[in-house]
Amino acid sequence: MFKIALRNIFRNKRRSVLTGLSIAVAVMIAVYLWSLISGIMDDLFDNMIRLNYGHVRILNTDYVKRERLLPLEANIKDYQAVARLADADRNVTLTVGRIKFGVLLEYKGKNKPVFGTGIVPENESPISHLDQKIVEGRMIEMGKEEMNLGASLARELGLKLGDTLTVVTQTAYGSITAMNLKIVGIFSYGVQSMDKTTFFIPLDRAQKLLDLENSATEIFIFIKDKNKGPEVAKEIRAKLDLAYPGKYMAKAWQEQELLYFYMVIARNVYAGLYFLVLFLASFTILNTMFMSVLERTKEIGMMKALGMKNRQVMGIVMLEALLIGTIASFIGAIWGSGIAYYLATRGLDFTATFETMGTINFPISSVYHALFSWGIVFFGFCMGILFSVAAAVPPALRAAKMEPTESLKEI
Amino acid sequence: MSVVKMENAVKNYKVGKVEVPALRGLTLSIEKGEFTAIAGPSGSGKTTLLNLFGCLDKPTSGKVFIEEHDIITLNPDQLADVRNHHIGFIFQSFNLIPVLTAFENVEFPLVLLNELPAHRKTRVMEMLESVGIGDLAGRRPGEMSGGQQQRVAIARALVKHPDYVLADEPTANIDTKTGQEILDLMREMNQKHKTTFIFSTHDPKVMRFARRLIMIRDGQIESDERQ
Ligand SMILES: Nc1ncnc2c1ncn2[C@@H]1O[C@H](COP(=O)(O)OP(=O)(O)OP(=O)(O)O)[C@@H](O)[C@H]1O
Ligand SMILES: [Mg+2]
Repeated sequence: MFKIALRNIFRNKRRSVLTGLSIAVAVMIAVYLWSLISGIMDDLFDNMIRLNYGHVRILNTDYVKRERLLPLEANIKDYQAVARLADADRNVTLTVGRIKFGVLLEYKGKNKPVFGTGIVPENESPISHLDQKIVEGRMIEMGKEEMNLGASLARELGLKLGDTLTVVTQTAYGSITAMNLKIVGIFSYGVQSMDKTTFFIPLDRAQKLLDLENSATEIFIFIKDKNKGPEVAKEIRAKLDLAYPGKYMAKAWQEQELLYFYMVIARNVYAGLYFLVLFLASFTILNTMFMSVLERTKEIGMMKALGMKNRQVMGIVMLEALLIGTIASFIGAIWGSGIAYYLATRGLDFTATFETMGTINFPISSVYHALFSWGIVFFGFCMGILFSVAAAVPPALRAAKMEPTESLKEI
Repeated sequence: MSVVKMENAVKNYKVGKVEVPALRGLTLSIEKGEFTAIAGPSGSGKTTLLNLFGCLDKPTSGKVFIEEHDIITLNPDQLADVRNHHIGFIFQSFNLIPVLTAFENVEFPLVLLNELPAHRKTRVMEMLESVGIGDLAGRRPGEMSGGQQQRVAIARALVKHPDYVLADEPTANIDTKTGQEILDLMREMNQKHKTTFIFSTHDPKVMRFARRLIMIRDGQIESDERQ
């Protein structure tokens, strides 16, 4: 039986090759597309976690409601005491306070709305990797009136290392405040939302500028296993409720609506594409199998006349599809993993595209790297086989329904 | 005892809304070891009759018995089993599996019968030798002449030692001389293995060769003579 199925594939070589090719290409596209999207998504999540959310984030409950407005008055008083609560958890590796604030940056008549972030420079390395992203100068230091500026922003405003600029904003209590800050370093993340609209200053200077002595607006918490975010957040929430009832809350990155939203979109878009591609390919299988089955009406009738049963006839047709599907999916998976591997190591540069698109509000890297994983490749391979076999069901049923009397018919 | 028989068999084909009668109440019994030709003009019902004898189809009314067993009540799988165990087929256009070698084609019915490979091998080789093409075992149908292909088909029909062999116009697709050789071979097999042969033809030379000649016309028996 196996022999018949195998040799039937070679009977019409061109047709089998075309069928196989369409499956192979579909599997290839499916594999590398998934790798690429996973890579982009992972990168996006990673950036968002590191730059915007931490694994778990403690916020003032009022801050949560109006986060877009960066409401400084809804801050965390004596943030170090609050952070210590979280520090007690054995999963936690780092807690760090931050203040994010909006300013209108003015320089030589140009002004631009940007975001400043008060940070503890020595803690920044594992979080935003700021130390590695400095392309010119050095990192800011605690206690000094210094800033690190995004490269695109610096270019746009015509600022360079050593320049001093005056930051004017409102304090937490609404009064106007200003501070002169010297640019000691310029950073580039390759992420538009960072490079074009942000600067960093030392946390203590931010506290002074914004009249937020000893306070922070956010506490980022990093944990050993980021998948445990919701658990840890829950424990911290319980502690916060005990110590400061109703005042503060903790949210894991998985509980961030925006991230969740992206995750769902990515998954749906991908699943849609994935199945569309395979679905189209399975049509070619359906078609060619139908053709080859109908062509063999007399032969199948003869096999049934000799005593072959319906399910054996079905089996032969399915086996043919399985063989083509397996070989083609294997080839497709290899091609796909080749492309995915290339994209994973070399990356796909979209800098130019993003430049023309203007400022994008979420931290997506301009260079995409695919995520290469054997799991994705193997899944693609299995899906290729599955779709091939599934598409062979109708022609196989058709073959099984053929009458043995066909064998005696002469045209 | 009859090998196969039909009683009052009627077969109508539906073409659209019209019923086309192909067999009009035929009663016929084939005895063991007979070498029978079914003859008649085109459209007289020869193929239809062989379909019923071959358990490929069921009559519209009437009965078909194989070794005294009524086959009317059997389901398609059971009919397949009956064909598998009792009936050999030879077709006008040979109808070999093109992707298999002569050896594998002859082996095919034994595979369906789940015979052991070692056992199959000796039986197939024996059979190929006895139809005179032992040396062509490795060839595919496309690499053989019509006569050689028909020999493979005969070997395939006989290899499982069926109770009877049905052949629909077995010589129609080959030249007269080769056709005669094929008939001689069938006759030889009939005598050597006591295999019952039932074949259809409209060639007078072939009719003369038969031991029993049944003439049908318009789905009815016109004459039935033993020579
Ligand atoms: N599948 C079918 N559908 C409709 N009518 C059929 C079918 N098979 C046969 N017939 C009709 O039944 C009658 C008998 O046909 P059958 O094929 O048995 O004749 P035959 O003797 O084998 O003819 P030939 O010598 O041409 O092979 C014919 O009138 C034919 O048109
Ligand atoms: Mg006929």
